[in-house]
Amino acid sequence: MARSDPELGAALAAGDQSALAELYDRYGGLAYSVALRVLGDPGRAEDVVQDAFLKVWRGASGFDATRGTLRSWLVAAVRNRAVDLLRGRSLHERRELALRPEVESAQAGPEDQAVGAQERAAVTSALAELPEEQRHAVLLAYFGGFTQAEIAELTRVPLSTVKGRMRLALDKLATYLRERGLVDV
Amino acid sequence: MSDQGQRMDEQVLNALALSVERVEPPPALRQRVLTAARRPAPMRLPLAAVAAIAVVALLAGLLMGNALRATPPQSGPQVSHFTLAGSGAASNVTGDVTYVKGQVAIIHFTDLPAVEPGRVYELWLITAGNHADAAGVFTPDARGEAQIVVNRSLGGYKLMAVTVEAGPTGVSAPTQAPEISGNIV
Repeated sequence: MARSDPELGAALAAGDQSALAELYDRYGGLAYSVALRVLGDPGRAEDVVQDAFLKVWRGASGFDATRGTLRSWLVAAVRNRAVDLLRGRSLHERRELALRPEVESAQAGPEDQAVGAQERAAVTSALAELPEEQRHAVLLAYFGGFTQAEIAELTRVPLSTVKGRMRLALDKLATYLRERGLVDV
Repeated sequence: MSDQGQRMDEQVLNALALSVERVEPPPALRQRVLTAARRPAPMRLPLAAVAAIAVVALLAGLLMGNALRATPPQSGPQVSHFTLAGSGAASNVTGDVTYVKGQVAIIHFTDLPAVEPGRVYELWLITAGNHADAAGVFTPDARGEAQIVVNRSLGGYKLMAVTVEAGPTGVSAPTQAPEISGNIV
């Protein structure tokens, strides 16, 4: 029987290798997809996934389920590590990667399709409802790792405008996602 | 922004990861992750930490030498390792701790977010009764790394934690919930 995420976190903290395998089976697909989305490079995406799982494995004793989910911790580790690797690339390349459309023909496993399809549809719809400049601001920040000052430079608008767009975008996304139970604060 | 507002923004940004098209990772990646997890974590100690360990080892050796003249052989200093992990905005942070029992702890942090000007990270030693003793302040370098040496026994403390406080000298009691922490073992 599959363990819940908090149970899995406790098992990881206890050094249970089978828990790591279970974590990978549950979120390996998502982790790899996020790394690939940020980097656009399958080889480096694999490196990032390995680093992120090892970070969770070795830091599991400090995991606090009241501060966030195991999935969000893992995904944040993947995204942050991938963004670290992006920093050596040109601003133009980073921008193109962050704003590229999703590859609809990508091959997904049937389990991942079933588990993630609803959540993906909700987040994609929420993003689609944003005005383009707000959507670009959050995509550049999250998938491109750009700071707000860099986004201002890149899009040639004042920093205050970028801050305003980010705030509006995050508030709208929060409302939309809260209604669908994807955020809980 | 309030702590709740910050957590909401983190959750919303993390939810963006769910918008990615799911891609099946290469089958070999699972085994690669599990194999890597079986290897011991590499200790990435900076020169200062290595020097500190050498000094401790030297002192321990001298003490041992003196003791050997009068008493039967005894075991050397006990060295243990444990990890601090981040959550929330610091979810990618890892702190590798090397502790020479009763004498010194050396902590090497990686992936620390930069702090705002005038702010510093402050390390705390926390007792089972929740009393926090300040153990030093530090700021990360450009790579997000930092190291700190705690030149005292950790006996009587249960938890090691880090908060962001007013610089340059820190404060006498933590003003916020720690985002980086780990049990002392």
